[in-house]
Amino acid sequence: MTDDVLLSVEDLHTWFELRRFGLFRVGHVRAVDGVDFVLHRGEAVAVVGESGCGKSTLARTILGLYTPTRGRIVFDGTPLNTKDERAMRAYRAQVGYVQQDPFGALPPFMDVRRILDEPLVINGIKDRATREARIRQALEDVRLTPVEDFLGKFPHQLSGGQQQRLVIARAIILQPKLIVADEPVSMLDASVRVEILQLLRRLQSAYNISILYITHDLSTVRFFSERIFVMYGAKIVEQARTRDLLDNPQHPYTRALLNAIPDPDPDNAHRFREVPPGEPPSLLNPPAGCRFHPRCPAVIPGLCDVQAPPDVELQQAHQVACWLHAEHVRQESA
Amino acid sequence: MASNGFLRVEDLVLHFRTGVGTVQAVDGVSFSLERGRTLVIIGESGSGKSSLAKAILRLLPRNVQAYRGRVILDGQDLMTLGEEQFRREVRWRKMALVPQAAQNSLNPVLRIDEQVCEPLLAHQRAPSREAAMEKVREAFRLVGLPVDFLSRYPFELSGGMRQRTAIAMALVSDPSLVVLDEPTSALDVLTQANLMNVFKRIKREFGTTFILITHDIATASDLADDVAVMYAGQIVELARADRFYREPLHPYSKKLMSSVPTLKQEKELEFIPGRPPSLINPPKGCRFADRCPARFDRCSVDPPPAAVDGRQVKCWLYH
Repeated sequence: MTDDVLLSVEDLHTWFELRRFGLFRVGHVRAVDGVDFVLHRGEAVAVVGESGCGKSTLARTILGLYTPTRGRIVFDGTPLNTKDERAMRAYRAQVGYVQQDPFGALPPFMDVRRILDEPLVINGIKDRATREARIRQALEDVRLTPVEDFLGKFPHQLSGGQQQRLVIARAIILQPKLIVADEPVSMLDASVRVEILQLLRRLQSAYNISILYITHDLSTVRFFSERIFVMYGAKIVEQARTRDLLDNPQHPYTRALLNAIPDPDPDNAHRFREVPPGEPPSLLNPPAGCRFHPRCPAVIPGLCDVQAPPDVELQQAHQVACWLHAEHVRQESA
Repeated sequence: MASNGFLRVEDLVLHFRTGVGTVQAVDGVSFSLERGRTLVIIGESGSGKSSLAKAILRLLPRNVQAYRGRVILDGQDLMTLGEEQFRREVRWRKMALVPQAAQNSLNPVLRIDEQVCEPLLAHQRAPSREAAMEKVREAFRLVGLPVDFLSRYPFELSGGMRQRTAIAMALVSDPSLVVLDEPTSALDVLTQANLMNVFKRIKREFGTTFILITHDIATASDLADDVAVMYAGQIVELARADRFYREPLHPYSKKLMSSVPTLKQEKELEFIPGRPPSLINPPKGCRFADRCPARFDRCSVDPPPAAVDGRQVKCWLYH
């Protein structure tokens, strides 16, 4: 089983120090506060959560852009050492990044050919013919064809969807094992989103690439991921296979999230939607105990507001961090 | 669709002059909306939907090439009013706008209460500052914001709260028509659901008429009584929401509906290949023809709207 694990994230914490006037340490923004999961080869996993839950920080820590405060990341059997420049460069060549704003991700002064050439040159592929062939292959893979039409174009000459395809081409050109996609389609039109997500799915299957797909839009994950992690207040509160999570959500936050998503149904206009009151928690001063407890309809006073719940393994690879499922643990240790 | 609507828009045209040509953003739009109902205008980027909002509220930039048609609100043709009269009597009094990314349009150096009462004081809708503040507090209660946020600055509020502030600003002068341009697009699912509940409550309590402009068909269904689908500066389908959602008729509407991922039902997801036409020199015939799976030879001529099943569909298939 461990043979097909590509990425293992263990007790990961990423904290940012907050200083007033550059001098006085006021506290830490605990953006990732104890995250554990594994990602298998060729698997697509969605990390779902609202803004401010820490999912983008999680993505960037996995990309090596932030140094973990605690815990570790193990990629393809090797723990990441952020202090080793060479190792990190080699690591980054194996992880592609697709971000939310396609136009912001592309240098406006470089044409398509140069944009795709750059990662190859940086990673020491000296032979021009090889680079040219890989550029063509990448453009074919993302269906920016005929290739000749696109090689000389600049980012502003492409539509949003085409720009994002180019970003994806750049992400796959070094044949990575993992792609981290942070809200890859939220800035694109509704009718283009499906195209891009299907493209990522095709690439995943053709090249056995693992995808970590970060989003707040649960309605797309059903089609594009095998498992879902739900993040709230810098922690993962539920992990399950996609079907299981959508059909049988266990955490009250997950249930609230699913309930809040409208399907295009005209009857929606005639009824109010049940939404938990309040706002997502501060990551500087998170609530004591379970971070969702101030908004939870099923809160157990004296427990949820005092002690953080443990991760409970339910059947079929379904894990939830909630006292509703862990009462037996508490009682055993009492 | 009733022809004596609370709001009637007839052949509205708004073209902009630019360096590369004339952008025909709104190209002959007509619809009618009854009091207390919500019309959702669904369109993607480049459809002209934001320009339509601006055209209705007469928030025009300097490079207008053409602006004509009729906008009849409660029996009065607003297009016949002069600038000053429109500003005094209509804008922020009878009609208000919550613009796109409104949460970013709040003045960062003014306290919230200063900003929200500004429309009242600027348009003489309150006899005194104290009366204005009372209306502001009422508007805050309506949108579900705690009144102690009034003394704060925008940066102290989250995105969802700032958006509610912008909505409060639109409501504070008791307008009968509120235009919402993508009111929830940058917000999280739970905040979106919360805001939709706020709009529903306002609809029920005050009978306010809303025009909601969005690309998000699913969220639109939360408020829609009537639906207009906009493509390349024109309305291609206009129907009551229950009929539209159960069965869209125009080929573009059908494709749009099938490209929306749904949680609750199993479906085959589709996308629409190609891109919408440029609004500079739009094609002469039907503007959707080159992406339409049902295209045939008549489509080289721009179809007039056909009346089908109580709705309007701009498509030769229904003639």
